[in-house]
Amino acid sequence: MGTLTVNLSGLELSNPVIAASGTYGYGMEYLDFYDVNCIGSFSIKGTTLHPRTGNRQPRIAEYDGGLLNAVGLENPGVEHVVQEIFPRLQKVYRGKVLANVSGFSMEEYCACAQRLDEQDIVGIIELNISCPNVHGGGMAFGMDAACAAELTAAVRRCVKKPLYVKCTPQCPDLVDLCRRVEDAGADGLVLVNTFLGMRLDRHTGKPLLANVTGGVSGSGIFPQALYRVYQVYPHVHIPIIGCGGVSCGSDVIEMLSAGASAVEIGTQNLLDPMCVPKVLRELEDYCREEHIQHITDLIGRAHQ
Amino acid sequence: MELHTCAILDNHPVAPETYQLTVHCAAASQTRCGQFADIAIPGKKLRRPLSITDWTDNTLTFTYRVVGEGTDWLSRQHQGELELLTGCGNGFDLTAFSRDILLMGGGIGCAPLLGTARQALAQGLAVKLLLGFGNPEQALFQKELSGLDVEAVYCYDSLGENVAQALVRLGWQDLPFCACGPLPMLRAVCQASQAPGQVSLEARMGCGFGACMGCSVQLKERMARVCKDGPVFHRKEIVWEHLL
Repeated sequence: MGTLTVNLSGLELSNPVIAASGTYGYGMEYLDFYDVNCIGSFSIKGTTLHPRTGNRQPRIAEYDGGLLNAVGLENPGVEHVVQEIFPRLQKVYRGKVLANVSGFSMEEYCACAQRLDEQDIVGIIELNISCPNVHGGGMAFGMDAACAAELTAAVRRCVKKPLYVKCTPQCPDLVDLCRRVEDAGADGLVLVNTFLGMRLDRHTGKPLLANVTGGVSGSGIFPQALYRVYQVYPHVHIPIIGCGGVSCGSDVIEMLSAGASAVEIGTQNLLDPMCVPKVLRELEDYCREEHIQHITDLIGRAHQ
Repeated sequence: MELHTCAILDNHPVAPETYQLTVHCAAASQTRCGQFADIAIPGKKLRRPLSITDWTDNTLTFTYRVVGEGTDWLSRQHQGELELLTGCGNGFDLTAFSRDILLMGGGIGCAPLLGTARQALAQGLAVKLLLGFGNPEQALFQKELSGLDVEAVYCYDSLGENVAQALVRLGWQDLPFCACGPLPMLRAVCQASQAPGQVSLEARMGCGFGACMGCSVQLKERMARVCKDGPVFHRKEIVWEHLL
């Protein structure tokens, strides 16, 4: 077992760095920059049962701390992912992926998750109940603990692989929701998806995003995301993947210390395509300098 | 695509609010005219995609208009280094042209057409250009094009003629074309021309290398990322109602 090795519900990763859904495509966009096999894992673009064209342009805006996006779950649908994309990905990527599943009804979530669960390349089903950019689905399930628990239980019955639930920070009582999602059969949590926000054009006063609102991400949300992990950790018994504004090795260390067993990096991949190899070097340097034998020793130390 | 740290060799105004920037850069990943590079701006999260006007073995030249804080910062840089992501996008496919090529541009959309004209000439094509600007003061590349064996026509909104109108007046509607400019101009030239054509689209981009889907547009039969699958698409693929 290497210094950086972590284990998520039986899935061993060579390091705790996972690329967040929606920022890593299907893994192949980073091949121009580095061998993607160096990454712990990555979460595929949010996938739905049927193809989706997503929101109108513009879908992207920036702020001092990062980005806002309102892509709106554009994806080619689960059959295309399974039949066209996974075979290509398997030629270049030897690891397992997190399959990010989204939907607009319980039946849709279940059918999509079931199809992805059958695929060898999928290691974890990541149930996305937190997309802020679609209406009538996504985040709607993540705002209400009873809804989230019901959906988790339904998907749990359809899949054999570990089921992680990706939550929204907009949820009014995240601790309660996480507890109930655990009781409903979730094997892990991903905390958190983007924060809802907006930008206005300084000349016209109109929204910069066609969708008006978007998901706020990037280093500007890191302290808030870190706090959600810190807040939930003492109340659950399942692993947490920390997510939100992680941009460097030091952020990974903080997330682990707050209680995360692994960490997702999103926006920083888009801003710096070499982010993952840099973070991995920083983690190796940190462990060597601090005489840390296993990076898992850092998990939850903020609470000790 | 490659990440490069490039020394600024030159950055000077060529028209009102319009500059030409040349950097030292091994242009290995630059394979086609109509590609772009993504330039990092200190203090800004997103790199700015700039169309490549021309290139040599070790330089890249951009022509850009100041439209916001990022390009304003860039216009004030005369030395030092810039971080670039090069070789972005598909560029124009000149192998699709056998004898004639018409290059049409609107405003700063003319930026990639100088290099495209040189490449087309090198390929033995008969090159015509139709370039439209708001007024004569804004015109680009007049001197450079006068030294090339091309037929270049300029038109100006201020003088009452846009690119699509000039296309009809000149009777060039049957010439296969490459076009770059604002969406209304691209739609107008596609409506006026009957010939096969390639159009270069513009979109607000996120990553610039195809990972975020921030710039995806809906084409006739597929979704396409302007930064990676484009920015150049065949006119047959475009559904203007989806874009405008």
